[in-house]
Amino acid sequence: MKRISTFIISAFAIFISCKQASNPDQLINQKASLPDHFKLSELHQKVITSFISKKDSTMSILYGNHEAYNALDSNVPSSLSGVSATLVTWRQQDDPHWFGARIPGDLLAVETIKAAGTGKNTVLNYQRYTGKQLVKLADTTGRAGRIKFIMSQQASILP
Amino acid sequence: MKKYFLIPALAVTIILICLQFIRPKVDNPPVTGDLQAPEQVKAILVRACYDCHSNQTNLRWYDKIQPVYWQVANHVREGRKGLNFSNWDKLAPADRKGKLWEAINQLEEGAMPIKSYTFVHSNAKVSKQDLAVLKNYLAGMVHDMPNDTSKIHALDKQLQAKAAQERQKLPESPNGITYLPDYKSWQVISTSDRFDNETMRVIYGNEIAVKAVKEHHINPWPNGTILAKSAWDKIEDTNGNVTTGAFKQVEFMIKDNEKYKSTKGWGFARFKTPKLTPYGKDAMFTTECINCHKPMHENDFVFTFPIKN
Ligand code: HEC
Ligand code: HEC
Repeated sequence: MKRISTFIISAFAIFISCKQASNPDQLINQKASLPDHFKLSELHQKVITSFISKKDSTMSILYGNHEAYNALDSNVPSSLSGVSATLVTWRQQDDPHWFGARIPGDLLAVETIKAAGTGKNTVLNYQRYTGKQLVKLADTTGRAGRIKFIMSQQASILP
Repeated sequence: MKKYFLIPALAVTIILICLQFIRPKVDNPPVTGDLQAPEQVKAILVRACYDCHSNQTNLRWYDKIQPVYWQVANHVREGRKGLNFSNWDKLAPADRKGKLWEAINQLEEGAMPIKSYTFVHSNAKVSKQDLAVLKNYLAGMVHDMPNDTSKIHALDKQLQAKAAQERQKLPESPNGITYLPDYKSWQVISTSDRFDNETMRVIYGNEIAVKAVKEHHINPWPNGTILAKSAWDKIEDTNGNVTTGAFKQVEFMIKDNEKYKSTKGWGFARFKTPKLTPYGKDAMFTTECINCHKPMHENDFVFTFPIKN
């Protein structure tokens, strides 16, 4: 009798433990993650805004330092010196956890803007990295347009 | 040996018989305004959900045998509390829509209808085709709204009010969680484009959270983790470019196994509009958070697939 109950209890315990938590590795969004060599989190820039292109099915987050934030926050007169900003763009995918949401899928590009010089002589340097491995692009066509596009974004309201 | 069995068996039988006379009450209060939906959609919901989520509960004789009946009655009571298709008129149009999306998501994740119920009521099972019917119905409710003037106006109003805002004291949620202004400088772990309710969101993690993501230690998330999620209206132009509009709310989930034991180890809080008005009449508002996050119980109640950066 005792043996039977021990058996039943342990069978039950095994049954319960079978219902395991999901594997953390599968919960990380690998295809949207940035490669190890691109240390975005170490730049300590904060989110300025985010936007979506329905036509391209992409979603982007614009990060920046304090100077970039001020330059894009409509209530503060803008100056470009010291500006450093990073725009990350992903292809959208359906959220497997929520019908009704789209989340970042493949990492498409990172674009950076950095100010050099001060005052009137400030220039904005632009760099584009593409693909999952964020390969630095030598081609600079369209550069002025991209700077203009990024610097014309408005900071999101974040109380 | 035989005698040993006989007495307990007799006792159990007697108790079971007695139990049949102690009966919880499941009545059907009046239907004030039933869900309106296309016939095909409605039929699926009636078949699979109405026993617990309407005032038209139709219990079969085998549901009424004790002690099962207790559980059934409890399911009906709790089920109606969170979602009742018979009082559909009591919900604002936006809340009706929200509840429907939540309902279909619970279905898709297999969290509803409750397993022990479908085990007995096999006709309540929802097939792949049924699910597709429901999803199509919801997808049909999503419309593009370029240059939505009311949304643009709401944003302008918030922009103008921005300069005037000054807060002396940080607001506090009914369960005692104080607003955490620092989240604005945390790292992002994801972003979400919600076409069910026309909002876009950014999900932030504090340092502990970001480290946990880098080390893949996110199931469960370590104590001290804080996840924040801010939400805005979506404003769309005629080229399909969508930017953030008026600020809707920020929500927090703070991990502490001990302190927040009664709410699955997470402290939930929500602050609405730029005024950061705490959400919830009393501390019980967290039931709503937990009920919707429940299908994620195998992922420590977290929906987001975090991004490493
Ligand atoms: C056997 C009873 C039962 C049936 C059948 C059932 N539910 Fe539920 N439902 C519950 C209970 C009980 C809860 C309360 C929370 C919990 O226990 O998960 C609930 C909670 C919910 C919630 C969360 C409500 C909230 O608090 O925000 C949703 C959504 C939901 N059910 C949808 C459905 C849908 C859709 C169906 C049909 C496909 C369904 N349920 C069928 C019992 C049931
Ligand atoms: C109707 C369903 C629903 C309800 C109710 C709900 N949430 Fe969530 N929550 C979600 C979804 C879906 C996500 C995934 C991100 C997204 O797409 O918005 C999420 C994400 C979150 C996150 C980011 C971490 C994660 O799990 O992904 C926080 C923080 C959060 N919710 C807090 C709350 C709080 C606090 C409440 C209650 C006041 C609440 N939620 C109620 C559906 C819900």
